[in-house]
Amino acid sequence: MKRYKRKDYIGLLYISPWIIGFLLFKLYPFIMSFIYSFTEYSITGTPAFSGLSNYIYAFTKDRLFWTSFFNTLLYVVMTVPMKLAFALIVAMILNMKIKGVNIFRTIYYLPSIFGGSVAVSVLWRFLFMKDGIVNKFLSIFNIGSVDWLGSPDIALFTVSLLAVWQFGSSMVIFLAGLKQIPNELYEAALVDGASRARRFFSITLPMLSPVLFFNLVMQTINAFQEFTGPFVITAGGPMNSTYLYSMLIYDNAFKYFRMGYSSALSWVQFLLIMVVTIIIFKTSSSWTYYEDGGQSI
Amino acid sequence: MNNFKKFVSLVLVVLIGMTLLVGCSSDESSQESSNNNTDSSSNESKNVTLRFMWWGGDDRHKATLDAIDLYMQKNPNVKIDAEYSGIDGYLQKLVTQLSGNTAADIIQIDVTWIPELAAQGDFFADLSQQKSIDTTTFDQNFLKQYSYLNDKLIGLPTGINASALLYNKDFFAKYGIDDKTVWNWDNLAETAKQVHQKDKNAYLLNFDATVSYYMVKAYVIQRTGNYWVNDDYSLGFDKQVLTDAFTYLDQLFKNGGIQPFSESAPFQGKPEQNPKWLNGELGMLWNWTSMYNVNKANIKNLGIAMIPVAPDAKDTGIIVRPSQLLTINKNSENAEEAAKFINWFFNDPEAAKILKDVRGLPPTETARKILVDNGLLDPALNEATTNATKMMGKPENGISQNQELEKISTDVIQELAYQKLTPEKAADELISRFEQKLSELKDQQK
Repeated sequence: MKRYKRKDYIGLLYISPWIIGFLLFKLYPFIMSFIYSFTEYSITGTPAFSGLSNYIYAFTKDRLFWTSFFNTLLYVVMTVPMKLAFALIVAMILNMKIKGVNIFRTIYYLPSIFGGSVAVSVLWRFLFMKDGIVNKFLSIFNIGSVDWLGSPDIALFTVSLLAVWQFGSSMVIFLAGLKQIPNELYEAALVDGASRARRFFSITLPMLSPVLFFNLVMQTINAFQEFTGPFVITAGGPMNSTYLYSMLIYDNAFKYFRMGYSSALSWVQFLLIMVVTIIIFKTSSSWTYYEDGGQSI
Repeated sequence: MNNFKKFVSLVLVVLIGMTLLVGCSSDESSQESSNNNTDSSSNESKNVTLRFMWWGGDDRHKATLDAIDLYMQKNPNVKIDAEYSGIDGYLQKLVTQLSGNTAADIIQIDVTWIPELAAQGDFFADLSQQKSIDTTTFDQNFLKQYSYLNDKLIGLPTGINASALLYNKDFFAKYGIDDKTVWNWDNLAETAKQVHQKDKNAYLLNFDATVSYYMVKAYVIQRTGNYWVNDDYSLGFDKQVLTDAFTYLDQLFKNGGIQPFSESAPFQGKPEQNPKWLNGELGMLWNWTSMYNVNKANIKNLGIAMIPVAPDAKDTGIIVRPSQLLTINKNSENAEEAAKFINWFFNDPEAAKILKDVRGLPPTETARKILVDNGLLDPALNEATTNATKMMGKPENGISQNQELEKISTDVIQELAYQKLTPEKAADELISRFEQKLSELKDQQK
């Protein structure tokens, strides 16, 4: 019994760097931001307790709150399905037996390594501007130039394309999921004369649904927090059409020095993400399929 | 034996954990220890390490680094760590460092940040208390207007910066615009209209929403003679004047004077990067004299002129202010050494020759003279700054430069540009949003 306890102790020591990091850089800021959200606090100086006023202000007076709120919802609804569909298609192509498939897998993963970097966002700006490459390409087919970033109706879509382009991590997870599907199922279906589409909808998709569920949750959370793309490409414009919620938090924290208010905004964002995630979890039982009847979750 | 191994591994784990923790703590302790090490080798004067933080472009970085090298050669006991970057995120980093007490000893700041920084706390040392800095070489009026906060001299201006029109001379020649034109609101609007009539792809003005906001402010101030927003948080203008300003702006959009925002939107906040401006299809950028060198690097024949001033203006609305201020951190342990460096930086002839005009026209008479004598100063820049100084309006007060008011204004201007609002509606909208925001800001002051 004594021996067992000491082993526990050593185990804790081994993961102590992570635990210390978690306590200092995750849990502490997490708790403090909750406390600050009930104060008026300007990064320096002492926070002054102000009750729920930050939350009330956000919901009743801050017009940019609702603008950015709906922009973000729209962004999530546009980005996540596009990204998942794209990632799945590419994963299925890369799952085929092609020569040099590993090279392609690496290449297609590259955009995700570049990630949300500023350089890529700048590149995006030059691709999609008025005289940019995309419009030049379209003009070959006599399609008039589109204000990809200049029109308040289209800009958010253009920005969301950047996120779709970074499909690599979902793609790799899909690929791993596809490898797990037993080949016998397809062979049996072929014998029964099932078409390609039929095989996809009756075998691939159900067998892949737990992976799809995982990707859906992760990508939804990511999309709610998107910042770099719209910040660098359009700076929230034109007419605030790409002004996302995280930019509102950033502006209030670092431009206007309202740390208390932006902590409150962060908590609203956290609760929103949590609610959406719970909804996805609750509905998942009706559309995910586990071979072991869902024991693993 | 087995127990011993366990003991060793335990010690190692603790050590790793500790180094991780120590690695995160401030680097002051490591600096101190290195100072102590070298202290024993030199007996003359105390060895110090100063941190100097600034933002800028490549020219400024190179010149400043050269100046620092020369200073370190002359003062072997002083080591200066340069911390330089672009302007993006600079203020955010600075504020975080100031509140965490890890900011550099010598800090470059922008005068427009002073009101907001001052509201956060008392960060900068009073330079008038530093005997080693000679401030008599500066224009005292200029110092009074911008460098004092609550009777403390918190910084010294690195250069003189004035509102100005930067224009492409080749563009002017192509569309037959006189290089010597003195601009007022009427001839600006007329010329802008004519240029676009001659060439559908060309626009006289390279304006984004922020630049349009400068213009609206200047237009209004010239009519009223007031501050944009008064110190008591009331508006310095009425609806009529603002409607006129928006009507003027609206005409510029409708006549093709300004490139439509739908095209220039990706370059909001950075009009100097607009490819059409770089290709010479836009003629003129309303900006600052300090941006002259940056733009000159991209546009071969760059001219500089005074902003439009109405003949009957009550106040020219021309802003002349320090390019930046150099300040000393109040918590610096080596404030005296920092002060010596700053004195050298501003008053030494060799420093002046190295630093040239990378921070705008030098603020001291002596430095300007050295540059002129050595042919290191662009005559056009010198002339434009001198002229602007002669005609300058009264300096902007703090609240007029507020970031949240700027956000409201650029939002409304975009709605005007996309024709979602008429000039009159835009004026209503701006005034009502300003009044709401100003009353909030006023409440916070209490």
